[in-house]
Amino acid sequence: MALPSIFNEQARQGLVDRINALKEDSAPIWGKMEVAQMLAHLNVMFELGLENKHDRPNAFVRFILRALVKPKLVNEKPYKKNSATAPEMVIDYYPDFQRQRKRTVDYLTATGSYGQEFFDKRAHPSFSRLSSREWSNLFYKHIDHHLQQFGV
Amino acid sequence: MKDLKDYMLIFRMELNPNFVPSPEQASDMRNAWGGWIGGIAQNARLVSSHQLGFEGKTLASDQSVQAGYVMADKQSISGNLVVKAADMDEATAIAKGCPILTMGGSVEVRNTLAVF
Repeated sequence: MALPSIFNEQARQGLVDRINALKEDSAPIWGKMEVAQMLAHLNVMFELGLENKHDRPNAFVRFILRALVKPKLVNEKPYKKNSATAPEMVIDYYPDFQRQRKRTVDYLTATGSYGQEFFDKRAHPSFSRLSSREWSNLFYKHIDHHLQQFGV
Repeated sequence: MKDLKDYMLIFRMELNPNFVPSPEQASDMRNAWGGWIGGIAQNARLVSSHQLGFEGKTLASDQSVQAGYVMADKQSISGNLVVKAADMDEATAIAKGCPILTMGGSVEVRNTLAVF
């Protein structure tokens, strides 16, 4: 079954409703992340996709990421639960829940405003150019995975 | 968020140019490295990495050149990876996921000095 498109307003609203159902003390079903850390982690994904604030890794890293990582992130197959996509590296960082949640929702709105054409063939700092479908899967699957992690 | 600094993870292991992994071993290694590197990259913490080959020469201060790379305790440097981390502890936590540790290798974590 095809994943819903992040460029579809109803699909985005579905994610926003689930994000709004999160509570500050929501506990993860798997993994060690706290809910605010999870949202901050999703916001890094949006920073990488929408902003130019992060440098590209070097060519060797980009080659590894394109060959080994990108295919798993942009296909339609859900991630494995508890997979170590993000090593528990946010350990020492306790962001503000309300602020991170607002950022996530704002990024989703911005993604919709930019629209599908903006993303088509847009370069990702790690994965090079992605089709709009790949961008949509990258975003939707990652967000859905972590919302499931927190039971919404 | 705290200011992030660059830390270099230095990989050492027993180098064996004759080791040819089975297809299954190769696939496991790809998944392990891809998962670890991918996780760091998805958090926008990955700066660079290099994997070293088996050719090397070692120079001394008298300009003499010896063939080969430096070995210590049977291990030699096989690569490095630079990450952004808040402090040494966080860099070490990231290093704990390095697949080389499951292959008998070791990881040394070093801070790098900023340009001044």
